[in-house]
Amino acid sequence: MEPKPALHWLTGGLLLGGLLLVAVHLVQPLGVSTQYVRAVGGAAELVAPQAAAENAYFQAEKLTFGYGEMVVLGIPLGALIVSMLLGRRRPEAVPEPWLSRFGPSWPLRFGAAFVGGFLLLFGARLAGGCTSGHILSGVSQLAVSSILFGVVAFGTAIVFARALYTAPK
Amino acid sequence: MNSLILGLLIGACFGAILSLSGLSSPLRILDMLRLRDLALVKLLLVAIGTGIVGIALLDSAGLAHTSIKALHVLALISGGAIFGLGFAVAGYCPGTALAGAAEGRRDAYLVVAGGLAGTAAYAAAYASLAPRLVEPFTYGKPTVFSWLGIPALAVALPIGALVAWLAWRWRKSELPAEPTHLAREKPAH
Repeated sequence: MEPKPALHWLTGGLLLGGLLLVAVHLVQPLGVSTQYVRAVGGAAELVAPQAAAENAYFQAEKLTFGYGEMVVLGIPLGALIVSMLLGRRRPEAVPEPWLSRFGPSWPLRFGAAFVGGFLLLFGARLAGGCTSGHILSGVSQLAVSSILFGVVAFGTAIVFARALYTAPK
Repeated sequence: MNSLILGLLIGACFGAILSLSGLSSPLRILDMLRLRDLALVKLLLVAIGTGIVGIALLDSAGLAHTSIKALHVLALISGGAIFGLGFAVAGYCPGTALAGAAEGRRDAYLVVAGGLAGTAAYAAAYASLAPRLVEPFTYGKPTVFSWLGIPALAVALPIGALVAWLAWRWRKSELPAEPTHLAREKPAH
């Protein structure tokens, strides 16, 4: 069983909101999914430079490396440091509630995780942002686009999560 | 400060907060999405409430670097639905998968790998998808307050007051409840 989070929801919420304000004040809102494009585009430039240069999406998104990419590299760094300092490593392959619903098969969970990740980023790139860029940063700026994305994304996720992880009677 | 170092610092704080608050845990995320444990909903509400008030205040003082995303209605609805399905299957989102992977969660590595593949697929499909899904029904970059034609603070302050009142009411729900373990429903006797 996983231990309770180290932070109370109120503390976590204030810290996350505070960090967003620091980022918006100093540079720009927080975002993550654009950096997946920079990573894929950067790899494509190495493997198939011609195709990468001709790709309309890479042209539109501009394959640069800078502040935003460092933020996304910082995310695993920060999580690594606190999970080591607090002794909260989670070296597990099949988390709950997947384990109780679909059993301990790691190939099944890994396959689902890959498909889930594929859908997450395909959807995020189509919509122009993910939980960070749209739901945290965008809704905080009261952007109509982000509120629409948040309602559709959370609504769909709630319906599927309730259906998927509830054992049929 | 060098902007690359600043980025790494802000990202590290972001990752630390995701990890410490339980957002990097698929158990916590899925308990939220199944509406079994609302601690993370409260956390997000407080974070967004803080963000709404703080950004409106910063912006009114000319101290914010805002960036509003375009209202591509078809792309937001279809992308949001695809994202939501992926969110439910994975139990992570694009940022929390990076934090979860760094905590050692093996399945989070596959979410990141799948995410890179999904990004590549979108880049390949973009030229044919964009004219059908992204460009039609696009309405600029409106905000709630620009639509209403009132100052941002006139929208932000009431929302901030509401979130603060809710957080005050919920403060008694001190620590998040023990996550509800999905017990396999026992067959009826």
